[in-house]
Amino acid sequence: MKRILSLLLCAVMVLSMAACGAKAPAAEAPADAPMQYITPEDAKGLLDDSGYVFFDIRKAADSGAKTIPGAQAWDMDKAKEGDAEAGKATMTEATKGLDKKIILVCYSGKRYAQAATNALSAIGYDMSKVYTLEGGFTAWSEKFPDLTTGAAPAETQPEEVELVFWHAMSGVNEEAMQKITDDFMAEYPYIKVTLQNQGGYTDLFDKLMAAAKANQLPNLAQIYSNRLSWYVDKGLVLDLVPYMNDPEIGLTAEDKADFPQMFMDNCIWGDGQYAMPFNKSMMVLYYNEGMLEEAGVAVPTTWEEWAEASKKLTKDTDGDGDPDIYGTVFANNLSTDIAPWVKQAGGLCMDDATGKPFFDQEPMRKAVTFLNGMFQDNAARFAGEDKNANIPLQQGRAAMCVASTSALPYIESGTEEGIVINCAPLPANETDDQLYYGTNVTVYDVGSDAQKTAAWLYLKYLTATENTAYFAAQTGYIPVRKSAVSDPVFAAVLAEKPMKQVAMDNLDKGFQGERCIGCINALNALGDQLKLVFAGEKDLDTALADAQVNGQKAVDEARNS
Amino acid sequence: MNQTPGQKAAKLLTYAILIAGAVFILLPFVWMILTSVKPSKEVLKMPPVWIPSKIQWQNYVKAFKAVPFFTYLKNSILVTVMITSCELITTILAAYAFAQLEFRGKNLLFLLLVATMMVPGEILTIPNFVTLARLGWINTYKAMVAPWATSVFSIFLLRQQFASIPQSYYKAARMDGCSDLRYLFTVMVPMSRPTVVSIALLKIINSWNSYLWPLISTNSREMRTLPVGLAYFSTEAGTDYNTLMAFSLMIIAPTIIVYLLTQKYIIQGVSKTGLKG
Amino acid sequence: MRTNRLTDSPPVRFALRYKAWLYLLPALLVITVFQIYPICKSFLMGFYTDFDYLKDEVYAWGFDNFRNLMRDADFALAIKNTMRLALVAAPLSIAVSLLFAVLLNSDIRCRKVFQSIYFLPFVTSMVAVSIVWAWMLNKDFGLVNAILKVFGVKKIAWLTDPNMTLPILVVLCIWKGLGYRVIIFLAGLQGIDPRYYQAARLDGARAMNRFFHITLPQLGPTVFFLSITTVIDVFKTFDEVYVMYAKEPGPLKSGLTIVYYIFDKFYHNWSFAAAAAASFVLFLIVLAITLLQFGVVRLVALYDERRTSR
Repeated sequence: MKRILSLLLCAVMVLSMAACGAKAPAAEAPADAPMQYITPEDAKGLLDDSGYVFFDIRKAADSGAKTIPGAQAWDMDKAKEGDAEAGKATMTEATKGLDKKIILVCYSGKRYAQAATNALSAIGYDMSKVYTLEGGFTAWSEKFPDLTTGAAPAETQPEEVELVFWHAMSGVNEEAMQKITDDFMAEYPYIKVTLQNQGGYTDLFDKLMAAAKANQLPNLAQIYSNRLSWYVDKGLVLDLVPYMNDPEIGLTAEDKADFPQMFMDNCIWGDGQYAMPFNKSMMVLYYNEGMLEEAGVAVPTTWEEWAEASKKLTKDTDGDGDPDIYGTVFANNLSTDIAPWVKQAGGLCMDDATGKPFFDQEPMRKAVTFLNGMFQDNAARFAGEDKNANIPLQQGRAAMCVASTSALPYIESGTEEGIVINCAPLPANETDDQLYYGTNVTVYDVGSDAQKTAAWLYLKYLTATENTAYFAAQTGYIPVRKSAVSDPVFAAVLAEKPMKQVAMDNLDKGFQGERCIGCINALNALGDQLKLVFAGEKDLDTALADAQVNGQKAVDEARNS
Repeated sequence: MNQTPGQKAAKLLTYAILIAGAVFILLPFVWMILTSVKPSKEVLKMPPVWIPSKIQWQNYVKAFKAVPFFTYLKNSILVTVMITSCELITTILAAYAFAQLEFRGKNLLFLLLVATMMVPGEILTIPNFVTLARLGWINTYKAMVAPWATSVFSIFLLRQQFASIPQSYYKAARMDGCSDLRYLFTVMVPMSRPTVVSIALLKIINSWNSYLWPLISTNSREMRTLPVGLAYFSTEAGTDYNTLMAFSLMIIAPTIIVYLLTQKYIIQGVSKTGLKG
Repeated sequence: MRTNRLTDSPPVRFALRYKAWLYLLPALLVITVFQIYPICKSFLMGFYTDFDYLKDEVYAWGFDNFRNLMRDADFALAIKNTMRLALVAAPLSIAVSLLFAVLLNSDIRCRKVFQSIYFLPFVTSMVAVSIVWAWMLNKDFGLVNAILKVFGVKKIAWLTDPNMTLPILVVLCIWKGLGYRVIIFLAGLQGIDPRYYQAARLDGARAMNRFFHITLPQLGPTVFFLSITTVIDVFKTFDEVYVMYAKEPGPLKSGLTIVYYIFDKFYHNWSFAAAAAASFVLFLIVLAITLLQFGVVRLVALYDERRTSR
């Protein structure tokens, strides 16, 4: 990388020597107007002087890449090549209504400057007010490397922008985020992004609520789409579409298509794009390889196989009537997580547009009947006091568990010796839809336009292939770009950790859960009833009927605030 | 002193109860300490591993490095000291007014204050955040201190204590031409030292351990306190128990030291009156 | 500010009244801004039926939230759970603390050590402690079951059996507050004039009698104070449940307390008005209980007065 850069630099130098330095007799103009020089040191003192203006008269590509702060770009390449008329036209345009002393900046202060001087003289500008920077931009950038800028379109210089980003990441996740952010700030020195951890997800959402109420929302925040919907409804979120479609700073059609559609859809409400996907993971079936092998059970791929396997793998080793090893362990909260089975039974939990629950309909009944079968066989249980379903698996107290791929780092570090854990997509039924989850990063509609633009640039950077690949490589999450699989950093991780590949392989079968306002409450009402069913305290039909009533009530209640 | 067998048995029983209580109280702490030096693999083992196979001090280093420890420590100390001193001043003055001074509506006001204790603090978080945001105090020490600068509970406690001091002292002081304020700080407060120390200690403990408010009222790392660091060790996918325990113990240690230091006064206060059962 | 002993003269009385408010000012200022104001606001919100939470705009008022609350089976369950907890945990934890305080107050060695130990839970953050407890109570690899196994007791599913939730919360309440209550009791015990005991001893009163006839009556205000604060504390039980049961209200909602209900409604469901209505009801319940306790104390005092004057 460095080598390429230095080569490029050399090339630029040689080119500029050729342009400014070497005399090319063919392009010699007959009568050259006299030039007066100004040293870079003197010119530096005039940077902020409103009586002076700097004209960067090099090729547009070069002045666009790097120039003197505040300099106006006027390409005099044609004039230098002998087209005096073009030169006069450019200078006429440049000096329109201008009554300032001009400092001409070219490559080395010779031929471009001469052409410009001639042009200015020809259009009758007061020549006592025209100076040429001695040694041109080459000398300037050697002497004052700090006093050069990146792309400065004509006369504006980017103002310093500060952004605040609230997140709930800690440990390696936070470190990876910080590294990407530092890289971003190195690339955009005028943007300062401050990452602020706000505790866990629940703390972060509480805090966002308080901040929204007090008008103190941050520029950027990590948030689940089922929480974001409320803010979108309240008009507090910036629509990113204009930024995304901007020819200069937006995304190409190719870029857009590189994001898995379900991740993008999760950020879109109506015609607006209100977030960008960030940390995503997939719900998978983890299993203990040794236990399956010993019991002669293949990794289940259908509901029937799963139920069977679960039953076979459940063991009561001490004979007290209670299993010590369960076939399958589920996460404690089946409310929002019930989605994949309902979907695999050919239905939906709720209508995401109207918020109407479908809790008492056939697909839900099928899904719950299937899961309940495992519970009633005593072949499955909730994580319960283990809190995370992967804990009993890691300790040999479960043969399989349903959990997120984001648990991978914990499984890698905390699994008991002798236990080999692998994972597979959830067994399929009528369909083989797979649940993905995780947060997006949103830009709140606060602050100046410059901040909003900077926030977009940051989001674009955060989700760029190279960076999302880096983040996924460092953490348990997966990249939000399909092209990340060919990124060398992530590819190496994939080769080393095949479990990560599962989440990448199933992207096209993936979907994300409901997110309408009130859906969390409605699904919780469902979850409460399901717990009663699985505990054998309530029959399925009554429970689902009650869930439907309570769920509808919860949605209605959520919509009146 | 000679003891009858009955007295001896009673004594034995006393010790038995006290020791049983101590074991009951200590068990979780012993477990915490042991866990804090365990290697990750032994943390969740079953049957439980009591004594770690090797002592892993690394957990403490990890816990220490996970957050900017000294910044958090400094903030914790500053905030705790500020809250406690503010509380002592406000509650001593208010308790004195309730215990010693007469004013219209005293009982009604007292009842109103006691009533505020009955509302769960959880619902006050967001309105208070909004108030402080309006004052422009978010992310300052002021925001962390102001809502806790007094305590109805402590006023309640001190009032009871002040009221138990005989009126004759007050009258005598008055006859000597002593002002209320001087009487309060030279007679009542010293006489109530155990209670004052107790409420100070309560406040120190509460503010030292408080988690949600310091998190909500501040934004940046530079302003955060130690308990906020607790969140660092648990994520939705799992918990690093050993480092969490190491960090918890580092947080708890100062409060235990403060308690052990102030305990002297409390014991002193008890023994001064020469109470022997 | 100097006053003479003629405290009865009207101008001095006026000064006294004025002075009292000065003394109260700092505390009142803080309480008004950070307690009374938000409480009033929140109570008002209980009557909002259609509103914009962020903009503080109310479109409709009414009693709907309260009506819904009364119909909500969860709320009824929360009240039931909380009441049961209060009825068991408060008297039990006060009694246990009093026992330990009296024992500590007797002539024993290592009193300081015991007292320090008992106080430990109180200086600990409840979050960290609840994590340790949850872990010790784990059915499969918890310490408690491992110890019980030595005595031949079968595994108990402490944290997943709904019937175990109440006992655990009671034990936790005792465990957490023991040191604190002991200190308050010790402060009260220290306030008892030793001459009472000397006199009783001269009369040959036994330890039990001394306790019931001197200690307990003399500790009246302390017991009263502790019973009010403990009940209030129990009514606000939340942290323990939240942490111990991994952000769930216990198995089959057996640990759903009123504050848990409020918290869930407010922060999880974002049903602000419902949460406000519920906290208003909680306030009324606690207020009623406190008044009842005050009433009982008055009655007892009255009874005592009559008896002693007889």
